[in-house]
Amino acid sequence: MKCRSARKMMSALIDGELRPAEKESLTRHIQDCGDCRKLHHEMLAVHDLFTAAGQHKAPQGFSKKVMAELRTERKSYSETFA
Amino acid sequence: MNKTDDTDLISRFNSGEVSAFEELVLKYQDKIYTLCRYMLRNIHDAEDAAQDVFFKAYRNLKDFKPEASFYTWLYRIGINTCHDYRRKSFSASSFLQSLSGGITSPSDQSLFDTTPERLHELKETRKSIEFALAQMPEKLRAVIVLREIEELTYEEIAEVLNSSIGTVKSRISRAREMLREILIKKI
Repeated sequence: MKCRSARKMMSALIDGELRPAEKESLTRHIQDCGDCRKLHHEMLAVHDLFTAAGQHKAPQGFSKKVMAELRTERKSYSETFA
Repeated sequence: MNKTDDTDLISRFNSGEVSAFEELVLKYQDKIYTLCRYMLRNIHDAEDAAQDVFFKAYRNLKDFKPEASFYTWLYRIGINTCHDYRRKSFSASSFLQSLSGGITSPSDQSLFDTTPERLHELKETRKSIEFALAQMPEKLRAVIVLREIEELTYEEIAEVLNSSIGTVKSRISRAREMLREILIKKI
């Protein structure tokens, strides 16, 4: 495998979206090529950073606020078209 | 994300049971709010946009086709809503807040129940990510947030964005390369 192809497939390797044969061939290339190993390592570091950042939680009372707004909207709609 | 549960809630909602919609809001509020936070950066815009996503879903749920996944449909509304917000509300306050790195609000519930060290680390991590995402074109930002934060598969992202899997794959790869360059320079 050439470095150019390896570079294109590296992101899909991180996401587990490669076919087994592609994965095997890319993994072998990464083991043999210092530059691609470094790139893979850095891409994994970015991936880990996102994992560490995780999800936010919606502000307290979010669903209540949404539902209250929708109830007001429905009420004014029925009053207008009653 | 369980499609059967969603289909059941949607059919209950369509039969007039409004509380079924509240269950959908509760189920997806963190995911949609997170999407808006990473897409928009400004916390006030993010909360308004997340609310708008659910208002739009409520108004259009009767037209939702059950053969599609509710959550990919909801994410699509989310991406489009964030796009509209970015276009229209680049206000002075958003600009000032983004300059001061307004990433975490005091009311951010995810920061409760944690040690001060962990809190500081989490704030710094999120700040770095938001700094990098803010420099990316919107199309790349959308795919990487859907993949890395929302953990959707390539197929689900393609459904949300109405693109091919090939396009999603190549955009995620470009997004990662760009993030790597931005974040490594920053370090």
